[in-house]
Order: sequence, then C-alpha cells, then structure tokens
Amino acid sequence: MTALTPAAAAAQIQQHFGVAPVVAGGGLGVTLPRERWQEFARFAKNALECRYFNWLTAVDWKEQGLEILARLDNVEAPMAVTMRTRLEPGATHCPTVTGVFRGADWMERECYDMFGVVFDGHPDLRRILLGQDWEGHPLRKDYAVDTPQAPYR
Amino acid sequence: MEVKPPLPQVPPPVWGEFKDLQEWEKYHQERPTDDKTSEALTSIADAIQHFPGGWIVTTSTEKIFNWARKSSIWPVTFGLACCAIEMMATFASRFDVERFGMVPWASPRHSDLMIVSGTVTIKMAPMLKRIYDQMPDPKWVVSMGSCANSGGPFRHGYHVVKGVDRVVPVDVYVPGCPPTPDSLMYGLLKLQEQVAHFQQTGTRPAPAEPA
Amino acid sequence: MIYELRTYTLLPGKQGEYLKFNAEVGRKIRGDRYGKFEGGWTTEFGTLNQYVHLWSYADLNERDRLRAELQKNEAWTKDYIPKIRPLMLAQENKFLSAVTPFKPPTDSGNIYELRWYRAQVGKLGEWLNLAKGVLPSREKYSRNVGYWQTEAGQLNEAVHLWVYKDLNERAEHAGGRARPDARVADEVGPMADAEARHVIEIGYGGNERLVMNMGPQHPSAHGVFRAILTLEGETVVAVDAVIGYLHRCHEKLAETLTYVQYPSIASKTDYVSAMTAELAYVAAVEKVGQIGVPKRAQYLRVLVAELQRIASHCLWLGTWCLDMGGALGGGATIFLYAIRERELILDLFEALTGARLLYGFHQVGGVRYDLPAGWPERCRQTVDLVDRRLDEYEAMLDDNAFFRVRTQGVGVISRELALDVGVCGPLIRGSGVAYDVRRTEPYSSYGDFDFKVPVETAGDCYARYRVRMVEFRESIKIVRQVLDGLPAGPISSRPGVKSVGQVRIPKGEGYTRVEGARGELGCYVVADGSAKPYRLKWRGASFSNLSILPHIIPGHKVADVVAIMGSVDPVFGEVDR
Repeated sequence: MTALTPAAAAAQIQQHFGVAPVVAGGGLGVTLPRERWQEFARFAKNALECRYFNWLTAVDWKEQGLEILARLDNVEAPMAVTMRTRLEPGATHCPTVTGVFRGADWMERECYDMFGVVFDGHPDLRRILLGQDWEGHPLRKDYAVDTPQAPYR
Repeated sequence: MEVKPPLPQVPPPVWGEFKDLQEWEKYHQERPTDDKTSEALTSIADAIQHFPGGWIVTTSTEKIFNWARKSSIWPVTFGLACCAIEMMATFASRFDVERFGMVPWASPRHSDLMIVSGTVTIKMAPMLKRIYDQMPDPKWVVSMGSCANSGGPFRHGYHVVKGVDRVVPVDVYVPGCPPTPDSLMYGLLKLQEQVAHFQQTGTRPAPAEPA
Repeated sequence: MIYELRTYTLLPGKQGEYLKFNAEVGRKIRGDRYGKFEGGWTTEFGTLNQYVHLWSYADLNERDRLRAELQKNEAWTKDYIPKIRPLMLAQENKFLSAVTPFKPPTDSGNIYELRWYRAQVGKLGEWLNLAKGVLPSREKYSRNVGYWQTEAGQLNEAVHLWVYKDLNERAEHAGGRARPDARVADEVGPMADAEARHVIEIGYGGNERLVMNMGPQHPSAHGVFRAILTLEGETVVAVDAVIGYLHRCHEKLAETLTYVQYPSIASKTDYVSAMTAELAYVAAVEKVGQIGVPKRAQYLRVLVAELQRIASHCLWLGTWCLDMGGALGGGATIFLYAIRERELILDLFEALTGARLLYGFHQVGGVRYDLPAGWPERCRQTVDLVDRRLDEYEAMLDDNAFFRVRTQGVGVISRELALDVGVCGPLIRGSGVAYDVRRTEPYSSYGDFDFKVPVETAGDCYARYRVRMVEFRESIKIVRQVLDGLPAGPISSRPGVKSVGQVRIPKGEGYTRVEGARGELGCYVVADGSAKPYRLKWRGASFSNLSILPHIIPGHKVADVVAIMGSVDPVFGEVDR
C-alpha cells in the first residue's frame, strides 16, 4: 500500500467537504462547520488513515467565540490533520468524537473543565483536573489567573 | 477601587460524597474517655512533677524520650511533585538519610514526620490535611521547596495553595526549587535539633469540626 | 433448522489477512451452496482476534451431505484451506437450535453482543419458557437477533445475540437494572454460569463488590494519582482514575509569563525529564517565530536530551521494580542501583547547568551554557559505566522468573487501542507501532545520528520493559555520536538576552513536538505579536499514556495494577499540568 501524501489527502478533503485545507509541511489544517465535525473525524480515520488521536483543545478568541482543535496523525505516512471548528460567540456546544476515537474521552473532559465546552454525546462529561465543585472555567480569557478560591487562598 | 467581598469560609466539599468516611473519622477523632491506663499515667506524672524536686525526674526522662524520638524519625512517603524526586534521591543510594534513623514509611499511622515535597493544590490540600490528621502525636512537618513554602513559581495560579502552612503547621522550611538533597538533609538535621528540645505541653487539640 | 456457530481464534496480527482472504476467496468458492451463511463477526472485547460466523442447515443430515460435497470441491481444499490454516490458532463450534426465529437486522454499522448462559441441569426448559414470555417486553429496550439453545457439546446453554447501534446505546439499557419488567434471572434460581463474549459487561457479577480507593498518597502511585477501583474479590472490574491533584495552572501561567521567563517553568511539566520539556517549549516558540538555532546548540540539545532519557529511564526502572516489591530480590535492590547511576548523570548536569533536576538550560534561539572544560571526557566515562551496568540489570531481570510472571501478558495494549487512545513513547512502540518523533519528524539535527527505534509486538509490560532497555543503549549511542561530532560555533542565535520581554514573536501559531522520555511531548503555541503567548497547550505524553488505564486495568488483579502503573511511567506534573 502506498502512503498517502499530504497533497492527495488535501484533494480528497476538498472533494468530500468542499473546504480547501491549509498544507504546511506534513500537516493539514482543515476548518469545518460544527455539523460536520464528527463526520470529518470518521472520514479522517477511515479514508485518510489518521488513526492516531493526538490531542484536542480549544482557544478562547474572546468576543469571536471559542475554537476547537484536534490533531490526528497518520503514523505510517507520516501526515497529520489538524481539524478545527469555530463556535459562535457565547456558544458552548460541540459534538463529541468519543465514538470515533477512544482517546478523545479525557481530552474532551479536560476541554470541558478548562473552557466549559459541552461535548454533546460524551458518555461521562465531568471535570477532570479541577474538583467537581469548582466554579468557572480557568482557561477562558475572562478568568483571572489569580482568582482566589475559598478556603485555601 | 473595587472592594471584594470577604470570601466565605466554607469547608472544601471534596470529600462530600464520602459521608460514611467523615462519620468514621469523627468517631475516631474523639479521645477515648474510659482509658484508665493513660489517666493513671498522667496522674502519676503530674504527681511526680508537683512533688518538690520531682521535676528533675520528669525532665531527665523527657531527655531520654527525645533522644529516642529524634533518632528514629520516620517520614511518611508522601511525594507531591518535582521535589519528591529529590526526596527520593535523599533516601536512596548516595545521600542515604537512613543513617540518621529515618526510614521512609508508607503508612501515616506509623510515621512521625511529613515532608511536604512539592506544590500543594486546592484539590490536594484536604487530602494532605487528612494524612496529617492520621499521623499520631507527636508529629512534625518539613516544608520542602519553594512551592510548599509559599507557592513558589506557581504562586499566582488559581489552583495553588500559597504555602502549606495555610493547611498544616510547619516546623522546618527548606528553600530551593527544588532543594538539593544536601539542603533537605540540613533541614532534617535542624528538625532533629528541634525534636531534641521537644516538650510536651499537653495533648494537641482534636481537629476542629468544620463550622 | 439447525444452526452452527463457529469461532476461529486467529493468530494476533493475522486477523486482517484472514478476513481479506476469507472475503475474497473463501466466500466466492463457498457461496450459499454448502449451507446458508447467516453472518460473520470479529470480536471487540474479551478474547480478541476471533472470527465468529453462523451457518444454518435444514438438519444435521443435510449438513453432513453438504460438508462432504465441500470436501470434494478442489478450489476449497487446494486454494483456500492450506492458505488459512497457518493463520489460525484454534477452532471451535457449537450446534444450536432456534428458540425464536432468527431475524437479522436490516441496517449496518452495528455492534453485536453474543451472550451465553449455562443453566443448572434441568432448568433450561423453565428458563426458555420464561425468556420467551419476556422477550417481547425486553425487545422494547434492545433488538434481539436470535435466541438459541445448544444441541451438542456443552448442553443446557441459552445463546442469544443482541444488536445495538453503539456502546452508548447498550450502556443505556445495560444489564437488567433499567427494566424490571424484562428480567428473567430472578425467577429461575441462580444460573450455573454466564458469559458474554462480545461485550464483557463490566459491573456484572452479583453482590460481592468492593470499592477500594488507591491514592492519592500511595507509595506506588508515582505521584498524586487516585484510582477508585471496583473489585470483585481480587479482580478489578472497573477503575475510575482521578487526576488533577497536581494541576499547577501551567497553561494559564504561560499566558502571563514571557518567552524568556517560561522555559524554566516548562521544565516543571515533565520534571523527571526536564530537558526535553524545556526543549518542547522553546522549539515551539522558535517554530512560530522562525528563529534559527546554531548547529552547536542543536547538538547540545540532543546531548542533554539523551542524557536525560537515560536518567529518566533509570528512575523508571528503579521505582517500577521497587513497586513490584519483594519478587525481585528485596525490592529496593534495583532501585538503589538505578538511582546510583542516575546520580552520575545528574552530576554531569550539575556541572553543566548548576542544577540537578530542573535546569533552565534551553532558551529561545539556543542554549544557555556551553560545556565546561573536561566535561566531554567525564561524560564518556559516565556513559561507558552506565552501559556496563545495564548488562548487570538485564542479567538480574531478563530471566528472573518472578519478573517475567509479573510482567508478561500483563496490561496488554493492542495496536488498535494504542493508536485510538493516542498513547506514545515506549507504550506505543511496545505495541508494534514504530512511532518515534525523532524518526518521524526529526528535529534539532536528529537526522544526523544513527540510532534505531526499538519495537516490540507483544504490547505487555515486559515488551515495554524491553523497549526501554534498548532505548537506554540507543541513547548512549547517540551521546557518543554527539560528543564525536560536536561542531564549534555559537551556542545561541540570540545571546545576551537580558530583559524578560526581549523576545517577541510575530502573530502565528504552531505545534511542535519532541520525543521525551515518556513519548511525544508537544506544545501548541498561539502568538499574538507580544512578548507572551496568547495560548499555550501542552500535549503531555503522560496524560495520553495514563488515559489507557481504564481500558487495560479491568480484568487484572490488584497487584497487577501496580505493575501496569509502573510500566506506563506517568509523571504527574505532565498529566495534570
């Protein structure tokens, strides 16, 4: 089996999803609408053979809303796809990819903990790093780094 | 200038889901009332001390006890963060503090010393307090490294307790990030000096019931 | 109507080949002429690498006739059978008669659950009558495909096949708990035996369950880790991993600290291998800012990274063997030996940077310190010594029967699971994936050096041990090569950085990864043109590695949890960040 080249993968993405990926080195960046998030994850896993789930996180762009990113690697090619989607300002719901990659479980829990992104369909969406009774989501830009917490300040 | 309202002093509900454990602990923290032996011993010690010239006996026995205490301080193996690695190195081949009678022990119930080695976070603080409460009296605490002393480089973080002395009383502070095994050893020797002068001034009060 | 359920256990790694061959050759030859093919499945849980398929015949005589005819088919006996024989480990079949009509689902992409219950002698009839009565109300919750009883071999068994859209749907209707109107088990006394092949139902098993809390103060938890284990006797059936006891707000603090300040904090993420943690951060910043690094600095980075890997693996070996306890001749033996060697490496670091554990050696654009006089010779002597001592460790451990029993076959991670969860470093290389960032995406002149990436296929603790032992030697090899070929020149492209805000990075973003001692350690940096990053994401190797635990621990004994934890080698600064 010949390894998939980034250019060929970009063409496939263009054909199936109608978005032009940004190619940089061995990495592709794909910006997707939220509705096609799961579909793309499945496509990347099966068609592009990006079976290695690397990480998932978010960036808070203040009034422009949250951006969710996930990186998937094809360990044979080597090639990587960074899939990203932008939530509207104030929106916090995003589909889960736990049904596609089991590794997304903890990553999405961390993202929920830190940014308050609710992953619809996640089997066990609890806080992972902070206590269950924590208030606020620390990596949001409106959360001060030294926000005091009772009782140990 | 914005005036922040005072923070409510609520107990951390981290262990909230373990109601049975809290009950258990409450029961075990109450001092036994029908302990005839210790009552008798206490009254004998009181009698000796209040007898004219009797203090010579109690102070010299105290010296013997303290010598024994300082020569066999057992620290509980309780590693938190980076400093724990240096603490392990202190107990291992090259530095070997076992020659001072310090045996790292896995159970807090048999230990005299807690070395707080690393950053105490808000999630960890109740656990740390619990381990401290589980240790029998007399007990000592060494705060190892900048994070345990004051929060160190992470002081401004939202999830970091700014010094372990806000959670448990500390006897010796060892500075450094992380302190080298030599500094920790120096701190432990300082602790031995303290222990040599230890005087029991009554029993430590039972941990206060959270309001 | 008689049904035949055949289960073939295939050699690990051969499943794909078998399935392909079966679909392309076997099915074509056989068709439905020699018995009707009702369906084929592969196992996802329980015993892996199995192919289960179901055939139906009018009756047993008919089956005998068709099998005899099949033996006469030359294409079958010559082209197909000899090719698949070497792929198989074992075959097994069951004859079943249908209790309810077989009704295959019309949609695809489902997950199936095959369960069999063995009733006490004489109780099966009673059971089946009840089951038949209950099935209509049970089917409101999940779809039944078939319900059979065994006719040959192991008798008194009720075999039933269920279909679900996915595991979530199954979890919603798990066991009999959610549907009191559709339970059979309570009426017909205790069953003799029950087994679910395709989905091991975690959480099943009566009343003898105990929830045990392990950590966060546990000597073998390697830090502040709490595992809430649900036990059935001595066997772990479920694990809830609680992390976050060392969450030190790394990512938030990074947004408030400048590119000059942060590297020394970055070393506190993976504090056992601080050199590579710093390297991940500065490499990411250099990538976004397109800052060049002089050749000598690149070589020095490789040198310290490999020495750090040796030191880190020493600590792993020591603590792991310490955790597994007395089986290894006193437990602490290897620990004391390994720490002794680690101290030698730390002496080198102390001579180089002045610190033993957290160094602040890297800076954006290069490194901070050059090698002091006499250091290379001392380094050579040290790695020679470590090289010799490694032979001693291997002599102690490799053929130690206790060590093998504790590690072989324990905590097996399959290749698929490893990729799916995203474990990295020695874990994924122990599961048969040759994935090493130094080779996949060479950074910092790793392309100049000759080394090999060790790969083991077993996926168990012993495989991970072998991978790390080879990595020790490969690191020593790289260190010698660096010392041989160290070029002269400056050690930083931005020397003399004095003020903390002096490094500014233009707007942009990038992800850079390095191969730390625990695997892929990466930094995703979003820069906004100021002296501080807008957002920093740490991709901690240990975070991904640790998230494998809920997938591999269930089914093991409590003592194995410690062995698995040690073989994962997590560092909690990197897990909780």
